[in-house]
Amino acid sequence: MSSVTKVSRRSFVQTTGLAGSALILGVRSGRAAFPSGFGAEESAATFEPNVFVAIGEDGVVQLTAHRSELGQGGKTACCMLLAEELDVDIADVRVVQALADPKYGRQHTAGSTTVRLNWVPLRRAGAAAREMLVEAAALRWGVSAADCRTGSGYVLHGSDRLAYGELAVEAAELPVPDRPALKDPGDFKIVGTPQRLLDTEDIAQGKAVYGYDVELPDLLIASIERSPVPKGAVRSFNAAAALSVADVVEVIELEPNSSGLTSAGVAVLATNTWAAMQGRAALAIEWEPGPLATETSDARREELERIAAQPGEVARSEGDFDTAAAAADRVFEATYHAPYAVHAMMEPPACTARVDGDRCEVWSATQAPQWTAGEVAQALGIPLGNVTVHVTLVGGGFGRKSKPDYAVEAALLARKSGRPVKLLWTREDEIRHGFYRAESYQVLKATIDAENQPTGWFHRTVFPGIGWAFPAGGTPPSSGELTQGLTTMPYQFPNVRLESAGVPSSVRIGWMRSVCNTFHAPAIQGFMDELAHEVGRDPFEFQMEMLGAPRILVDEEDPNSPYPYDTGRLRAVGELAAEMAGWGRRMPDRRGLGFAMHYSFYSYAAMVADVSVDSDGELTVHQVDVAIDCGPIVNPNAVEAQMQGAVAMGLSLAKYGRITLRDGAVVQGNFNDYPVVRMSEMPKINVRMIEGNDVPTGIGEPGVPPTMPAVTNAIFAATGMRIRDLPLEGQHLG
Amino acid sequence: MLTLLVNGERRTVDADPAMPLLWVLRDLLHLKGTKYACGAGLCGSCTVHVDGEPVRSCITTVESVAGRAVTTIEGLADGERLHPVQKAWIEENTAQCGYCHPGQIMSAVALLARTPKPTDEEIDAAMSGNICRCGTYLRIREAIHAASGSDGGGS
Repeated sequence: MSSVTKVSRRSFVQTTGLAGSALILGVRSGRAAFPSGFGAEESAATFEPNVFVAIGEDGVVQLTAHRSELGQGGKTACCMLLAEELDVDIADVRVVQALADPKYGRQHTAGSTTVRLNWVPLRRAGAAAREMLVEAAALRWGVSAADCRTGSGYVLHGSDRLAYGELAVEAAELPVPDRPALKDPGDFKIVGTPQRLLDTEDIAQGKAVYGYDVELPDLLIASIERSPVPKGAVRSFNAAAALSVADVVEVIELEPNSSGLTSAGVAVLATNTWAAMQGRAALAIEWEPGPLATETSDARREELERIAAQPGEVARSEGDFDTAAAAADRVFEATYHAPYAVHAMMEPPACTARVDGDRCEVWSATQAPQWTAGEVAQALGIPLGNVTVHVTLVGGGFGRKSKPDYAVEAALLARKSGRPVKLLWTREDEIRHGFYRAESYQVLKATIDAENQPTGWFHRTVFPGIGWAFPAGGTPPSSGELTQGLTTMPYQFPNVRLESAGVPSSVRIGWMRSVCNTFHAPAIQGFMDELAHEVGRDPFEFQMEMLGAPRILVDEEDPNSPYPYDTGRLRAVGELAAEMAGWGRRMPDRRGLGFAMHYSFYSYAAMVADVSVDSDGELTVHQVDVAIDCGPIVNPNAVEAQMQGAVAMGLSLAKYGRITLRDGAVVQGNFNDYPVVRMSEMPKINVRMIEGNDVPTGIGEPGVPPTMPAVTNAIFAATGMRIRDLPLEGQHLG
Repeated sequence: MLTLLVNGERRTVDADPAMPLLWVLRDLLHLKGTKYACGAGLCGSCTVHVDGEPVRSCITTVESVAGRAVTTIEGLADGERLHPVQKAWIEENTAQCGYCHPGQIMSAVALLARTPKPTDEEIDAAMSGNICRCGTYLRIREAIHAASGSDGGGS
């Protein structure tokens, strides 16, 4: 949403007549429908200049956050932007989580977009409300609005002051300004200051309500045993055995839904979780394994290597790489592989659904409330307007909770059982039935002339496109996926050829925090490090040299993007990270520094990892120095936290991230065989931020990609062992 | 019927004796602060105290804690007065998604009861059974140090 529209009481009624009552619930945020203790109680708001701000005569200022809170601080950032321009103190406002509704604009909390896409719209929403309150006060006082000021929820004029609540009725009568004046960033009081995430106090007291925690009267808990192999089917199962477990109420078979989002399975519904799990264990399902049951990880890798040996589709070409190769003194080449990986956020998927005739209400820990509404409507065959989606706090998402499959499952079960159903995925369900980070295989080549100067860069990436996860989708990587590292290659080689190729996948592909950057960055940054050594250069200095003079890389699909790729900003974070780490200093035996930098989600991140490898091959990551440029910073507390978290996640991927297939099924199932880093493995992390321009860009994802190559390059510095296959687990470090 | 002492209150539940304490707390007693994340004692999200000792409630049968004192995250505060570890957690902006943090806090409280002034190494050793996928470990360590500087830590 880039403009502010006024929604009057009268227009609610008019709109309702056209579109059903879901819109009313949307505008009013539907808080009364929440279970007790879930959110703020319903109270009539008098002044609602737009869908994000409401002020009651009781003086309560209510801000609506339309993005999900996954721990990344998105909800807090939205409220900071609104509160800044409205001129209220965050401590004084009530914050509600929006229902799914297109009137908020894009609600999908993904792609590191919350601050980037809401920087102007939410400030405008706050500023419009403030202008109207000022106008109302000026009219009451008989003074010019230009002579009034605001501060902490009051309009001020000389020694007079009126609280916003006192002006709510009059302000509601005024027109909404189209283009309210925005504050000069130099006048910001909230934006740019460290703010605590809004849910912190509830979290510390165990009061925060996640998808797993929703309660409704008459609720059943469901647990589903799904086909271990995608596209498998149920042959038979023992419903009687499941029903004989105390507190089990019902057994329901589920077929895959038409979107291909859900799998075949059998659900056990019970009055408590333990009974549902016990009943599920008693089902003794026999599966029809289906066409994918012979898939193994070894076969997948062979397929990837076979495809990678063939020419791919050219995604970008400059000069003539083949001619450069023919003329070269030598061609330096390496291949990189990364397996499937899964999210393993702490809260597995969970959704509660209640179906009443042709209406459905869901409470979901989701990143994508509007998509959830659409899929639920389609699965139940009811109008979109009859689906209400409440968004709970999300206990980690990392892209997994963009997919609405679990809401569809919950809704189908609620309809079939006739009772509200809370569907809970177990950890094993999450790891074995996920939407995985794609497996990838990459070939990189550099041509080097007789003067030991690199003359050409070749990169072929092979992975299943995310479209594979959808029935209408295809296997070739999309151009969007290729911009995640491949086509955004920033180095000034005279000859460049970038190619891609797709491959079918036997498991579903999803978005995982920074997506294709998670395999492109390790390959590109690893290969740059290798190439530096090949031509006898310092890796950091070589990167800076190949980056060359600052230039703008134009996105041909979006040439007028407000977020141009400025390689000078990449250089700046690179230089800062190197400076922070004391790059070039002499390191003890078996200890080394590794440099990496990467542009993603329009932000620039660079890191230096300091690692040692002992004589047994045991890796210790001592320190990671992080430099990040995401433009103007809304919440420095959250930016630092996101960099710490991204290093932890990148380190987990580098050390352990591997999903293996055997007989078409995922082998791993829990944190014993899909480990993630623990506190004792955490390095010291220093974060410094550069505000490289005046347009904010992504922060949730850009820290993940450079972590992995910074660590593997440091392992090379410490040991001389080059890591081209991730994860490290299972490899003896030299 | 089994009788439990939960957060100082006597509670009677009609549960399968083999039901993990986690589900008794969450589904039968409606104490949702204790979290499920692995169901196998691998991640610590479900940590509660039994007679002051941290246990993984997801692999502890309700039968085994009958008659013993169970403390959950909901029972840490003294009325309105938060436990020093909870205060430190808030002060240090520790949580991101926060899902694992009730378990983290329960482990931290148990650590400080044993070791009022832990070193980084002692914190790491005591806390490495608790996974945080958001990667808040450094702030957890800071919060524990901050809490150890207060009068508290004992549960």
